[in-house]
Amino acid sequence: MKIMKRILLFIIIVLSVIGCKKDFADRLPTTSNIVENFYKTPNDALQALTAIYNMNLRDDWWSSIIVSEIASDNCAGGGGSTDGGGYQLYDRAVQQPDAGGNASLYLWKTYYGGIYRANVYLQSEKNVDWTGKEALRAQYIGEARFLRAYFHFYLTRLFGEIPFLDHPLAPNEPIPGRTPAEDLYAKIIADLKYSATYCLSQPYGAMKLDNWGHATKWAAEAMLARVYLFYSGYYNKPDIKGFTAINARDAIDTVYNLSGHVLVDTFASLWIVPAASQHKTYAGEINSEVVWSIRYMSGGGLDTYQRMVGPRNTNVDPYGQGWGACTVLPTLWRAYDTADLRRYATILDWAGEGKTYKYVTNTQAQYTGYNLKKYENLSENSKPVFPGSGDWQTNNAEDFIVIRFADVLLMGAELHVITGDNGTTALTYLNKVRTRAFGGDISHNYATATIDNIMNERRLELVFEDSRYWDILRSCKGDFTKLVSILTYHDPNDAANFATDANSAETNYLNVDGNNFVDKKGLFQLPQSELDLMKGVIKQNPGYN
Amino acid sequence: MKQKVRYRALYQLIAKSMLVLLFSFVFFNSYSQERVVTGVVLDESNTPIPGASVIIKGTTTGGLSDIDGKFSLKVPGSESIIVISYVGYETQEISAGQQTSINITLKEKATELDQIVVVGYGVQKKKLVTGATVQVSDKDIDKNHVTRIESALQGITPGMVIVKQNGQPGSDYNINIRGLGSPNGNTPLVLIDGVPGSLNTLNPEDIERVDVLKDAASAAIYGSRGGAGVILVTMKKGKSGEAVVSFDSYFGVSNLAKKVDLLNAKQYATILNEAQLNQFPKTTPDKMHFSQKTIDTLGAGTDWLGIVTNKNAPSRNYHLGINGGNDKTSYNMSLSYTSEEGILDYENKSDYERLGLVLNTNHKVKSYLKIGENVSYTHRSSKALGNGNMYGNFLFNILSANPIIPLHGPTPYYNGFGVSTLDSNQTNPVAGLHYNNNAITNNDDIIGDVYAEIQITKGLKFRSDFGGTLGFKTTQDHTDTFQISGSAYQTIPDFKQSMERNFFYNFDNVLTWEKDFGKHNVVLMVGTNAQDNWFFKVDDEVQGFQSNVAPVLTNVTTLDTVIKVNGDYGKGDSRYSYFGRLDYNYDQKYMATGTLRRDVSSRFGPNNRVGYFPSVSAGWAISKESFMEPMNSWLDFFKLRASWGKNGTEPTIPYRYLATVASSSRYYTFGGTKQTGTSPDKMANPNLKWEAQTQTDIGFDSKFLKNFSFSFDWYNKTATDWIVPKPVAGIFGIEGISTTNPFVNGGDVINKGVEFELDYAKRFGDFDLDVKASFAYNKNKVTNVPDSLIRGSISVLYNGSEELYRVQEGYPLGYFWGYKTNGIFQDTAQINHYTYTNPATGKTKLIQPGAKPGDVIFQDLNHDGKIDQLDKTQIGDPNPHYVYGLNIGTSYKGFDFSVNLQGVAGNSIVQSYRSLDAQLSNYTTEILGRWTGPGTSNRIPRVTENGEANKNWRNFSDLSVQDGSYLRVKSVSLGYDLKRSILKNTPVQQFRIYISAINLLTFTKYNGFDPEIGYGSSYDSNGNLVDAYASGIDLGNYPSARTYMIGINLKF
Repeated sequence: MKIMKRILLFIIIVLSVIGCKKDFADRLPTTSNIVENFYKTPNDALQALTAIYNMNLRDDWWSSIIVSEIASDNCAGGGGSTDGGGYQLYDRAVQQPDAGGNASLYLWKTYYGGIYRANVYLQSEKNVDWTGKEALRAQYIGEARFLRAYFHFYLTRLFGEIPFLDHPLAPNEPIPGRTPAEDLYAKIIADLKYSATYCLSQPYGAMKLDNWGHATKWAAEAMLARVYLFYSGYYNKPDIKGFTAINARDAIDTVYNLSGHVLVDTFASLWIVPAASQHKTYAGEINSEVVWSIRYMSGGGLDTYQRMVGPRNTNVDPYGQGWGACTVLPTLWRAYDTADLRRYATILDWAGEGKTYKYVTNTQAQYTGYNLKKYENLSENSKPVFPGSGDWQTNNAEDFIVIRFADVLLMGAELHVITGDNGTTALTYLNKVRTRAFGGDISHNYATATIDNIMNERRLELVFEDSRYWDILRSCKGDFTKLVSILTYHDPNDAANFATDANSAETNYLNVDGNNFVDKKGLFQLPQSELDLMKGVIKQNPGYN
Repeated sequence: MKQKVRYRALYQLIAKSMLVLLFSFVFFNSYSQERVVTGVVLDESNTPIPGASVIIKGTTTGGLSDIDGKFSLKVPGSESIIVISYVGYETQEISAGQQTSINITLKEKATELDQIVVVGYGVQKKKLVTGATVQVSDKDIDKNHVTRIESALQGITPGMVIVKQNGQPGSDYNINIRGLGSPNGNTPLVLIDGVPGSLNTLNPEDIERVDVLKDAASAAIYGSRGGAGVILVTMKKGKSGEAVVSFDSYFGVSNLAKKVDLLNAKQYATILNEAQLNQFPKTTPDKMHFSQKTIDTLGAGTDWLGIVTNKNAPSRNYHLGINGGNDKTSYNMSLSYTSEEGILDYENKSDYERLGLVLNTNHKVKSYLKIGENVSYTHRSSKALGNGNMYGNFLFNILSANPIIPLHGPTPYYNGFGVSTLDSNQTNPVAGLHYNNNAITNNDDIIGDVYAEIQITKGLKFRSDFGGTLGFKTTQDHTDTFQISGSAYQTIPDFKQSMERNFFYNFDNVLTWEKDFGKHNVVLMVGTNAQDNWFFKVDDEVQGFQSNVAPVLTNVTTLDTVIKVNGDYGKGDSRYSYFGRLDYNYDQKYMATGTLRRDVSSRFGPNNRVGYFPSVSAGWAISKESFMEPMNSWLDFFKLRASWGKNGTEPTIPYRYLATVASSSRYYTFGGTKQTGTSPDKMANPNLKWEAQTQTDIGFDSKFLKNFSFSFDWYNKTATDWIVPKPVAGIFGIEGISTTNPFVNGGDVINKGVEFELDYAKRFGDFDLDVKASFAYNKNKVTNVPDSLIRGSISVLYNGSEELYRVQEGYPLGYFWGYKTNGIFQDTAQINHYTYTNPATGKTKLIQPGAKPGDVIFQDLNHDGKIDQLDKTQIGDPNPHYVYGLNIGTSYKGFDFSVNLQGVAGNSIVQSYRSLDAQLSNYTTEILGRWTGPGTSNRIPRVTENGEANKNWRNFSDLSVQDGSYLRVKSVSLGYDLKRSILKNTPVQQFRIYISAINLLTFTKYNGFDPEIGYGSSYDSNGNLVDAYASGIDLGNYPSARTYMIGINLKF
């Protein structure tokens, strides 16, 4: 009997133990979704689309804008004399030994990160229930493809032929090799053509504010022209698998005729600091000249270039302090006509404005007497008057205009010249930009539109808008020895205030040899760690071994 | 602050109640009618016998001797006979007479001492154990008078490396057993009376003993979680017999054991000027950092380290325990309180308190049924100054601060704190401490279990044990607005708080069957285990509120000052397992054990969720063989043992195998609306499987010449299939910021080593001597990692510092990777002679063309004529090769004296007390020995400013690496038991007073504060392991205190 009781008790406990459910160890996260089951509704699709746009907010010391402006004849590297000269490497197109050859790693990873998100979108949106929302679906695909094209295009400008990816790579998938330029650009064009067909196409003014920031038909058309111009110039080819200058020209004319985008009246009103420095009304981040911009927001997405380019340790209203990067070359200052209003709006001339640059001895590298104004951040005192608030290091929120209508006009002028109808349209486009630059004074207008004066106008109009370096490269038409005269810079007289002691780091000198760029065809070094990870499938760009 | 005062009051109340309780017991006891006889049960070698039965003949009154062999017995009268018996010993009967204290020496029957050790899901006789285990009893633990059990284990557990993370009160310890084996944590599994838990909730005085399972065969029964070894903590249990009340308390004062000297104001200015001139020789006097006139007026300046030194920092400890029971029920309860102040402190911001409550009872409700429970509650409250890595490390800031800055400034700017006149971005470090470091962390942990044990038939036993832990953690932090320099300011007040709740349960069911077949003895154990947990976490951050009161979270949607409300909750971490063990021995001469565990864990995908973990081991008591008889005169016991086993390790974070999507930092603004974005945050790897730790152990245990025992172990521990993030190329879209690398199985490491333990215990009349020495050697080598290399982090020593540690095939885990130096260039001729001739072209060039006399000579190890990354090599190993300890305990009559030594050798430390990216940082006085001209120094280069071409310090080299070996006099203690003299005729059993010194002396060549550097992997706020492979890096590691204390141990 006693034994029975013991056994009974034992059985009860054993039964309760083996009552354990079979799926006991099946667990899924409570507060996040998994890839297989997330993409279901159009709102999920919008979130996935938003994540692609978000990659534009990735901002680092090494953004395409900073890198290309330093490499161009607009800016020196600048920054701190003890920063290790990272920026100067881009001015010299030399290998980057200190960063382990990885200075461009950020750019590479960010753009491929964006491509990945776009491809995840395009693959996953098929699982969404789009019933009754087919137009929205096409629009979103158009935007995802626009961004995929844009990321590939920006990558190839920096690094040459890179792999075009049209799907997210599986972990065990072989590493794809470089896509030949012609195929790569044809795929970019195909994406942009789709976008130009299906993206939002309301003209500026009719577009709902809620949609501001989405890539539009107009952005896609303008990007088609930008891609064409770069490819045809850099590779010296007349067309991208049938996409010709006429197609590109028509794309610009479409934007000109139908987009509703026009120039704003005052050049300086386009950016906060240029507006503030001239007591002009800031036109705001949403204005008729913005075809497509990167929408930064206070408290997130540090737009590093704003804090990097500010004068080092110096706050002089309305100019807020920064790290003194991208000091402006005096040659750029001198390139402007004295009556050109863009000069004062673009460049901060310390002596000319009677202001003092208070850098601490030996900490500013490559001081030239000039700093940038476009995209500079406001000083603390000026902030109550103008938008933006908070820490100068982390709260700069000005949108960056990727496609500005002035650029559309100049591309249009160029394409009209290339396609031969160099009559009134090219000149009209060109002089619209020119006239505004001189405050409506038409006496400075060009008599004829030529490639030379269009390129000159591009240089003056688009400083620090990630344009100049690419214009230089494409104007070479494949002959990169032309870079020597454009990029070589050696003028110690311009640099009265920087350290001249022989012991100071070489990077503090303003001494750039354009020859460095020739064998590299103007391309930058691929990040070494990425080449390692790609196991030799992709080789380093020429000139960097 | 207010909250702290309230807790203090509570603790004072508790301390007072303890005393009242204590004296009421004394009072009550002294009027007790019956007489109490106390005594000690010893064996022939005077070793105490725990668990011996002591009863009054013909009754059931009595109990068992405790771990020290001590017993206490109520004796009705002098005619009573006391019967003392123990398995393996001859039973003795003693007449009570008038004695109050009896020492009994039991004669061994035929067998040796049957010491009991705890093994997985059971106990075993030490002599039958075939694995490698080590046991630490409360006697050894209590000797050290420490607030943390980990500290007590240092130096007495061969094969364990125990390093305090830092000297801050309440700081945790890094423990690893037999070397680093996994990047997923090397912290052993801790089981507190069978329930997985954490050592930091325990009061050492509540611990009966600690058993450490070191080899895979011993730990394999815990399969999935035993990969890093297992620590089994047995809490003190009630013993039948008269209630024993114990009260232990100490008071200590702590101080900095060693000071690091920094440049004073005048030296600082002189060195900075010298650096400037070295860098820019043409600098005119008016452009110098300091004019000679200024230097002449400078004195010692501000002693920042002195300001934050908390002299005679007090620590207190109270522990009240009651223990007793009868043959049906026994109980043990205790209440304890500990408080400690940091030796480096400012405005009481380095502080720790712990309040603990322990209760366990055991009941024999039926002849065949035992039930019982253990419950403990621990409250911990801590405030800590930022330490560890360079971010927010207060000591790093103190060490690099400009000594010319006055503590308080003459002007009302910068809130009255002194400011730098040299550079507006230099910060007054004490002002930084004043405004920051306001976080208070409170932990409340409840740990408990209930069990039932049924004796089904003779030899067949079933035990079911359900236990769990419930932990709450809250933090509060606030930062007011301030500006103390150009770069250190807070423009909006900020308040943060968080709360976490973790519930974990553990359910064990074990069936054990034991049977003798003649001389064959078989024990079979099978069991099941199930575990699961629930977690909940929320934290918020509010900016902009009235600065002197905490904000109230109201309607979050309309409060735009709320910048963050985060939370997470879930159910995860579920596991279930089946396991079994078969023990066999023949005549206690030949032993064999086999175990198998099958684990299922939710941390893996369905493809590889199940893991099998087997082990086998065998032992041979050679001394029992007849051919060994000639040696019996001196060799009392010799057992050879060998084991092999396999354990597993899981990923530290759940769902590593899944591709999840995330929304953080993926927004974008369309129009005026911030739109949430979502994308994958990692790649899936459905084939992720268990890490495996396979270990072979060969060893022996011996006893000889009666008083000596010696153990030896050799082991080879191979860890394979590490779960590591595999770097993938950027074209896979894994940019490493919001999308992380996939976790794969790849990475092997081998740890090989030997361990010795030698004990000697002998009584010479009234003089007792007990010596324990331990020694361990371990060699760590990585044999396989993805792409043969895992790079270490950059920016570890300062912003922009280069990679300094690596995980690479053929090298120790986390070895230091840098340049080898060859002294200092004394003159230009030497620079010009340091050349390289290209064998192909015959051209000769300088290897260091940028060098100046006084610069460091770097070795061109790859002989390519230039100094670059390819010349870097192993310049140090942070893993100690040797760990040793020596404990000497003596007693004479009422006096006892003990010394505990502990040391490590063969490891390196990287010291970086100065931020190289801030060139105006202060130096230690070591810089005074710099190169200033030919022959002045061949180690420390000339001082220069940043950007100097030769990169004397920016190149990470052996200049920054030091020998980390040390020998520490960890504790010295002298006590006297008044029971032996003035309290002889009172009911008091023990009234010991003692004085003790902790961390009295350290012998080391290391010139930093403390060679015990706890820098290493840590978990960030998202639970990700950071710096998984880094250790031995001293960026201003809060040093261990030197403590003098006085205390009492009282029992009655």
